[in-house]
This record gives sequence, structure tokens and C-alpha cells, in this order.
Amino acid sequence: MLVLRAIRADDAGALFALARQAGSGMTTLKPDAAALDARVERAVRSFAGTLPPEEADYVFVLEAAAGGRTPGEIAAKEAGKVVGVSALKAAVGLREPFYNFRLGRLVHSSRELGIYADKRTLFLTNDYTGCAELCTLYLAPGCRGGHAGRLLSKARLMYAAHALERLPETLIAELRGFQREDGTSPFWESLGRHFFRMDFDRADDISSLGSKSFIAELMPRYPVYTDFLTGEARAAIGVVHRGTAPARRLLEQEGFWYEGYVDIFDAGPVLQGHTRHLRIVRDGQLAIAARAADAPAGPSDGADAFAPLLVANTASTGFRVIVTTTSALRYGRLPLDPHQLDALHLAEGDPVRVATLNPGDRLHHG
Amino acid sequence: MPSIARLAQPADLDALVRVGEIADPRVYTLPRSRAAVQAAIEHSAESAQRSVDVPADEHYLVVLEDTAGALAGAAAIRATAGSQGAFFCFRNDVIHHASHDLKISNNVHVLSLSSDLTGHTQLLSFFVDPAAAGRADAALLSQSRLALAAVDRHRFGQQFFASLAGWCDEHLASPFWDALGRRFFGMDFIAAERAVAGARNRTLIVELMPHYPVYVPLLPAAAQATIGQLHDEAHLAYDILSGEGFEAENYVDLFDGGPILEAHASKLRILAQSQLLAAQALTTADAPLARPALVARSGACADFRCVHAPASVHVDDGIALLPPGAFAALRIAPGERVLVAPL
Repeated sequence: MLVLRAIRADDAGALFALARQAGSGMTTLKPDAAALDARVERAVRSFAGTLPPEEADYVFVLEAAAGGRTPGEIAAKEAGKVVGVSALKAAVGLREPFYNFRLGRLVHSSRELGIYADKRTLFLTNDYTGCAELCTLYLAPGCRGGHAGRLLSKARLMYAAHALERLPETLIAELRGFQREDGTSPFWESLGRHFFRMDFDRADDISSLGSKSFIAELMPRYPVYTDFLTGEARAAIGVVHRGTAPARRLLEQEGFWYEGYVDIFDAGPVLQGHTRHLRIVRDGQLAIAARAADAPAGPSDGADAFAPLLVANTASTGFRVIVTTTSALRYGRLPLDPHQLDALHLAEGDPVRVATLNPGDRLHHG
Repeated sequence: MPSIARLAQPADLDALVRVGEIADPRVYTLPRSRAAVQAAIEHSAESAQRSVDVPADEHYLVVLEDTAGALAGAAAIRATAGSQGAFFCFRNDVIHHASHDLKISNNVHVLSLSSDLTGHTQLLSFFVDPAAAGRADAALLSQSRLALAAVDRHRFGQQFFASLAGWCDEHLASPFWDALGRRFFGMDFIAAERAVAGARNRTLIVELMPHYPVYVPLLPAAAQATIGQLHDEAHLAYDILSGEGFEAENYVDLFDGGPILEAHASKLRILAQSQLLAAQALTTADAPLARPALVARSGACADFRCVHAPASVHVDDGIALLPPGAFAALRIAPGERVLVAPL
């Protein structure tokens, strides 16, 4: 079984190992021990509530726990091994500006000449200042498959439901933009390169190290007509990297949408959602944990006949989430087996937050 | 009789239409159709008759008469550009982007849609028939507009400019237009010029052209290289105007990126150095002292005429001694005041 939990101070080493494994593709998870230590410390204080809400950076790790049997969990059979990380930042852009391009439209028309031209423009904005952000998601390759990826990503929304009053109205997620086969970004080549005179990786590195202010100093401050970009660059605006398409679908199914904001480097889309109206926040329910019989209470042909549920405890510092496929809500009670109760650090009768892992599934039994 | 530059008259209509036919429409902005030529002549004559307090939409058409009395070129001066709206062009701006932390600084060149030149006096529509007129005659024609301004200062502004044809390739394509204007007009350069009738004061320019500065580094290299570059046939006009004190630096044409030459009146040789003097006959004794000069008739604007002639200037006496040919060409009698500017 895999359990997602709030990060602890003693996870710094494990996080560093994950960062090294992730490689250069992950701009927000660089193997920089000092930076990672600082982030862990900040996350611990965030969960403890000792930071102002807007400074919180909630980091979660996915670890193996006893019990369970789905394929993705086999690689993590050593209990306690950290195999993934994800994060929810309470607010972006409050210390250093947070930049995006907004894809705007300007209609140039001349009745006299019978010309009507609908122009697309890129405006440099800080419109998402103060919004919460889903970020830094990495899952070790051996654990992909099963529910691991969705648990890692969606458990953050379970936390959002838990900490709703400590989060802003809008939640965003920046997705990696389109790249060519050779890993270069046509958008960057056509726009950013002219202003930065450095390659994409270096610019992105500097950006992820927190020196975002340089972006404003060097990027075009006036709106850019996309007509002046190459056709390939125009076509890349708002388009995700091939490997990120599933993540985009996942978020869109949870209630996020693309509003026309893109990353200033690679033009990857920013998805946004109203925190309160995200499916998991809106449809999730509080219930009472019940002790399940040793045999699952479902149909006899297999436990997975139940729709997978996200189950979270209601603690902050000790926030934990699992996926169960062995039960469903019944009269406000959710039966959990002893391993599951252990994994959630719960006892019978404690409150739990429950939501279906996938949209469209039923939360209740019968 | 020397070559003469003078205001156009109704009788010049046929000759001006012929001149318009030989001038490449991509390079020269002079009126072409018979109706347009006629309108230009009438507007010029009407402008010259006006008593002007503040320069407005007056437009003066000057023609070059060669030594045989044939019409060999035309040029115009507009009292205020964009008087029925605004005169639009691109201003060369530099935006300095610097990051202290990264120790990077970039000067980014942008083109901003500008109406800065609205109200300035514009020299335009310069064309000489290369078969009929040499360089000196071409210079006379171009300079005559400044002489007209020097004679009747109150009819013109303090700032002068001239927009020269921009570079295009052997297929008559303008890389600048293709990279910029075409995206907004959706038509060929020549079609767009026709649509605005060569003018830069139409509201449709504001309607169609980019409202925000255009980042030059985003344009194709060929278009960037064209900014401020002259059409092959515009070098003569450029050389003459440069010699008179015009400089190209701040502005380029909206459509083809050609240079716009500018100058304050105080920087223009003919305006700054000319004097009004009484014309007297050049004596044999004075002949060796005569220096080449631009000499223009003062007095009624409609009677404006201008020639190159040797002149012996006696500033203290307030006189200029001119050869008999100049008197005949300018149609003046001794004692009349002329404008004299050294060449």
C-alpha cells in the first residue's frame, strides 16, 4: 500500500535522493541539499501552522506502507521508502513577482478597406499573484502505474479541502510546454532567446532558483503580437509537452481549465480552478472511520469492484491519504481494514475525508 | 536661361502628367492621374494665394524647368504634415533591459507607432527625369522648397522632414513590409500604398497598424536589415537633403522602413544662412567675387522662382550682384529683393 503524507524534517535525505533521480527535467526539484533542507523546514512549519497562511508551502511525500497489492506498490515494498513528492504552495508571487503571458486578442479592423484582423497578443502579467499553486510532482519510475500518480497529485486537493480557509480562491498549475524531439522549445527560440540571450535550460534554472525578478527586467514589457513569432512558436502556445498531456487531462477532469495564461519561457499552459469548486473539494465528504471485517465487504469477485476512493485523515501536521478499493461510504461510515487505519494513523470512530479518486465514480455504497 | 524651379501653374498639367508616368510609383509619391495632378496644381495655386497666419494644409508644388524651358521634375512641400489627422511613422526607440543580479543588459530596439511628426513641415514628391536633368538641377529643385520656406517663413513650421523610399529587392518586394505591414493589412505593399494613396495620415493606419511597440529582434533578419535603408533610386534625394542639413535618425516609414530625414529650421543651411538682399547687376569688376548661390525671388508667393546663379554679396550694403540671366530667370528688375543662400 502507498500512503501520501505531509513531509517531515527527517525526509530531507529522501527528498534529495528523489531530486537526484528526477534529473534536469524538474525545474522545481533540483538536487540542491541546502535548498531542499530549507524547503522541508518551511513545509514542516506550514503544516504546523506557524507560518502566515500565504507563506505556506505544503510538501507531501508518497511512501510505501504495509499491506496492499496493486502493481505500482510492489516496487515500494520496503515500508517507509519515499517514492514520490508533490506540493501545494499557498500563494505565488508575494515575495517576488510571478509572471505569465496572457494570450489576448486585439482586433484591427478597417471598414474602409474591408479588413478585419483578429490579432493574438502576449501580455506579460502578474495576474496570478496570490493564487495557490500545485507544483513539484515527481514519482519514481518503478512506482508508476496503479493509483500512485493520481494519489500523488489528487491528494493535494484533499489537503485543499482540509485547509480551505487557509487557501486563496484560485488554485493554478503550470504545465510543461511543448518541446521538439530534441528537447528545444520553439517558443523560447522565437521569443525569449532574443531577450535573454541564453539557452532555455540556463534561463529556466535561474528562474527556478528564485531569481524571478530578472524576468521582468529582461522580458518584453509591451504586448507582443504573436504574428511576429514563427509559426512553430505560435502553434506551441498553450500546448503541453507530450509527456504532460495526461497530467493536463487529469487536472481538467478535476475542474481546472485553461484561461489563456502561459509560461513565459515555453508557453506551456497554466490551468486554473476555483479552489472551492474543484471536484474533490466540492464533492468530498467527511465520514467516520469504521473497522472493516477481515474479508472485504464488497462483491465476492474481487475487492476492486469498489470504485477507488481517496481517504484522508483530518490532521494537519500528520496529514495522510491513501487510496482504498475495498470499501465505499455507507451511512456516513467508511469501513477500513487495520492496515489502512494504521496507514492513516486513525482509530475506529475517527473522522475521515473521502472523495472518489476518479470523476464520475460513486462515493456511496449500494 | 538657367534651369529654374518655380511654383506649378495650370499650363504645366500635361507635362506633369508625363513626368508622373515615368516615375516609379514604388519610389516616388507624386500625383499621377490627370485629375490628381490637376488637383495638386490647383491646391498649390490656392495655397500660394492664401494669406497664412498659422501654417495649415497648404501644399506647394514646385516644378523644374530645364534650360530649354521643358518641365524636367517636380517636388512638393506641405506646410504641416497630417493636417487632416496625424502623420504616422515608426519611431526608433531603445528600451534598456538590465538585470543587476544576472549582470545582463540588453538594449532592445523597438519601433513605436508615432504621430510625432504631425504638424511638421514635410518635403515630399521629389522627382526629376534623369534623362532631362543633372545633379545640379535636381539639387535646385529640392532646395527650392527650402528657399520657398525661407522667403515666407510664416507659411511653414520650425521642424522639417522628408520620408525617403525604403529598400526593396530586385523583385520589388519590401522585406520590411512583408514582415510587418502585410500582417496587418493582408495585402501587397503597392496595394496598401494605393489604399492610403501614399499618405500617412489616414485613420485606417491607426485602425490596422500595431498599437504597441514592435520588438525589432522578433522580425526576420531581412526585415531588420532593411530598417532605415534607402531605395536605390532615393540616394540622390538623400544626398541633396543631407547636404542641406537633414539627418536620419529617429524615424522610419511605416510601410517600407525607409529613413525619415529631419531637421530643425536652424540646422537647415538655406533657412539659417540665407539673406534678403536687393538685387543689382553684377559688374565686370565684381564678377570675380561672385560665388555660386541659390537665388530666389521674394514677394508674392505665387510668383516664387528660384535659380542657381553666381552672386556677389555685399552684406553691409544689403545688396547682391547678379548676372543678367538671373534677372531674366527670376523675372525681376534691379532693386527688387531676392533671397540669397550660398551653395
